[in-house]
Amino acid sequence: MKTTLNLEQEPFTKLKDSLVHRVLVWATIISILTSFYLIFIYAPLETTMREVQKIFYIHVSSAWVAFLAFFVVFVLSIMYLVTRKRIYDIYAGISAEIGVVFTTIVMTTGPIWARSSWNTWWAWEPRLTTSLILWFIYLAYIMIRQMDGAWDKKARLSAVFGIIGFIDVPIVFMAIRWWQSKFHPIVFGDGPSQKGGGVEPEMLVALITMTISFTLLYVVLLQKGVYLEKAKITVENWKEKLREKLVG
Amino acid sequence: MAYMLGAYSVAWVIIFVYLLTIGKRQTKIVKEIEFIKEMEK
Repeated sequence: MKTTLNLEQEPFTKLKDSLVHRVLVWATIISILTSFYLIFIYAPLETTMREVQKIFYIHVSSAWVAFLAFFVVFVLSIMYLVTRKRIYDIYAGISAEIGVVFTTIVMTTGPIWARSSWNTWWAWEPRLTTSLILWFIYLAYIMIRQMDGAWDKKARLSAVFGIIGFIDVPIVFMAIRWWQSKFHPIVFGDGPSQKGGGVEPEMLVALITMTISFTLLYVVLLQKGVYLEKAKITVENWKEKLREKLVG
Repeated sequence: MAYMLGAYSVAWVIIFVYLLTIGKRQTKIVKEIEFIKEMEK
């Protein structure tokens, strides 16, 4: 039996040969190793918290990537609703997944840091509560995408959810500036009860490098995830054609 | 020190679990392509 499927154009051969992807992967690895050097050797120890303060670098940079990922979901959800092009929905779905991964890092490294600094794993204060809500919003977004049903209906629903859900991102960021927090300090900028103390220049260099590393990792994961999603759709189309041939 | 190591370990475990999930997705798609190729023969 001969089908009309063009199996020569397999989706996996392209990604292997993609120079951009390889360069991005190596840039990510090198920048992560550089970040580790800057965090553990170059950056000075903070006088009060000592080694525990180093959680700051991975915690803050993960939060940045999560915000970036959810912003991408927000923009692409609008683009999907305007154009109805599936590619925007695919990118938004993968970006939300990566955002949840990095929010999970924030939500686990945060309590570890809190246990050491505040002597408690959790406190119902503005930043933590709004972050927990953010985590639940995007977990729900992923669950919507995994429901049974036509892809376009799920895409429309998740796009609306992705736009509304993004409202929580600026709230998480501004929470400690709008409402007084006993625990969370303002590091950069000012708030109602405290002024941002800033960080040492060496610490800032380490933080920026770690943030760049995680942003690169986000781009690599997004590229790979979107590629696999496209491949999955192609395979599903092949299977459908094959089924039609067999039935016909 | 233990808290710092714990936090970094947890963060990297989460990232590696996600990488493994991506790997599993790729393996599944490769297997399905092989299956379609077999069916085509």
